[in-house]
Amino acid sequence: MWPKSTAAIFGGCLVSISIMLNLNYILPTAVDTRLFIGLLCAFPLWITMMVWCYVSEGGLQAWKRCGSVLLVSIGINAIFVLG
Amino acid sequence: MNKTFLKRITDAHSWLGLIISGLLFIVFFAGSISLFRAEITQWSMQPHFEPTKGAFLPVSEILKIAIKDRDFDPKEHLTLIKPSKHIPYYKAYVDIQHQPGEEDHDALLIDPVSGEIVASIDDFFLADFIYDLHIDLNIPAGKYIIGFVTLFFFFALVSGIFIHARKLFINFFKYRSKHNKRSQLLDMHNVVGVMSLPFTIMYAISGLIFNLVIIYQIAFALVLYKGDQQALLDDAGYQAIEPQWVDKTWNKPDLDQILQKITNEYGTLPRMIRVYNYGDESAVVHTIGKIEQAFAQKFETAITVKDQHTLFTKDAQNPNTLVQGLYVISQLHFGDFAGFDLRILYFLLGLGVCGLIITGNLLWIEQRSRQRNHSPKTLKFVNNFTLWSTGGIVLATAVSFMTERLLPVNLTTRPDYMVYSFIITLALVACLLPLSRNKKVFLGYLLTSTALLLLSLVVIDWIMFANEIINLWQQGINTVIGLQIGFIFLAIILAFAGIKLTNQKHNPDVLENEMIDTCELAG
Repeated sequence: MWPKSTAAIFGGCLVSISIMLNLNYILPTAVDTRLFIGLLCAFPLWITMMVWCYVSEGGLQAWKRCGSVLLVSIGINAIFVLG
Repeated sequence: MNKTFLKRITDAHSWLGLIISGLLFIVFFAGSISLFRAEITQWSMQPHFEPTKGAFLPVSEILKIAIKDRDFDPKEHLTLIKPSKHIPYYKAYVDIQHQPGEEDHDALLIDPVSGEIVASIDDFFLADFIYDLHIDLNIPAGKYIIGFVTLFFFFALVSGIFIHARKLFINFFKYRSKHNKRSQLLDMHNVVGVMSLPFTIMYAISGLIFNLVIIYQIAFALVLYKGDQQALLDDAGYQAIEPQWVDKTWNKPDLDQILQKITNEYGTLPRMIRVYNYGDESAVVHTIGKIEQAFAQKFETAITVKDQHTLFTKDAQNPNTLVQGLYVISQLHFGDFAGFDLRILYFLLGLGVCGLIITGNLLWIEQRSRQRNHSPKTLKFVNNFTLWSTGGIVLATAVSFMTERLLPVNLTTRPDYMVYSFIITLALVACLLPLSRNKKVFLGYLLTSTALLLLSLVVIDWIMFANEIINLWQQGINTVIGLQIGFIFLAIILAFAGIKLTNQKHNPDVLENEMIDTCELAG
């Protein structure tokens, strides 16, 4: 349970932050609206990752799942930040 | 959904639910009581003071009274909260010169008619203490602890939906009262869980936004704003007001005129009035208020005192989506967008979630006790912990109400004693718990004691303040009697439940079941 929890808490948090950053770059709305949408979506996204982590076989698979999503999302972050 | 998915998610649901259960119960129990925070403050305070009638003094006079004979630090703030229906005094927060580690402000209650300083705000700490328990447990970093408890609560809700999805509607009205204990607990857990779902999801998301927003704030400030946190806060609608001190005394400042203009524009005096650089030419008046006729609409202005120049205005005409959105969330969370009846509904739903937490823990105990490899010590601990963190908290809260009423109003350490009474009661319950052999009977004693305390509270109220309570009633201030009716109502329910649990030891059938339970728990 603890290895899965570690992935769910930290991995889930990083994934949700990274996707929220991408949303902020993508959404064609005013900055205050983007921030509010981000805030509303951030926690459900974190919980989605937590669910995915907890239904994993173990900690390793949970981290792999988080890592794969995080890798893709961070890649898009990098394009926006550097581009 | 396959069986493995359901098994894993059920395991996570039950373990995480158990881990957070104690703190979550405190959050919901204290939160439910905090819905009546203003009423509780008035119940604590009002009988001690004669309410005055007449025209209010101008705000500028109240500000002068607030700083008179105080070591006021004008380079900081001077804040007023306007009188309300339940707290008919100005709350003044005066920032004072202080050394590191010392108190940085005086908090005063000022009569708006006579201008008399009636008491310190902290003298009547009960309602704020319970509210602080709800938001941060009254401990450092408690806000973040509660944030993570809320995160797991949200997970428990979502996982609960997955577990119960197929029977969400079919079993909506199912309660097998004639079946065994486990079926009853499970039905209770499911029905309360499903019925309160929209409410609990709203609470989970809003609670997370209040307590863990800092995580996203830091990330956004670092990545999107390249470390410029103030730029992020400006976009988020939290503009900093930092007037430069020019060291020239202000010349005939017309604070009352500024406030009158705001009142004329929005139809109400702002709820909060804060003056920066009070007494200096650079002074700025910052106001925040609520538009009474509209749902979740507020206004905020910052105006210089010298030339009445508006630094910023945020209202329906100059909106900031984040500020407005967060205000809507806050209104939904605290249930203060409609009348008293809505808060009663919130209160009942809040207590329903407390029931959800207790049944969840009992289900865990029930399930574990059936497993061959269960640890009797773990079961005993969970049993005691559940009892302590529920029954103990309920009794400790009642004791703190009693202490609040009994302590003399001029006692300087009054709030401290009230907090100590809460902690000592919890400690006492924790010490007595291991000595009790029959947990149900012990819970019965806790509930009955709470009921007796609540009834005594009403009697003591009338012994101490009979004339004042009647006087308040005649003036149309019915909060004290209203709260007493609430105490009596709760006392009857608690006494009924408590006596029923206590009497079970005389029932041979139940005693037999208890013995089986005890044997199971003891291994």
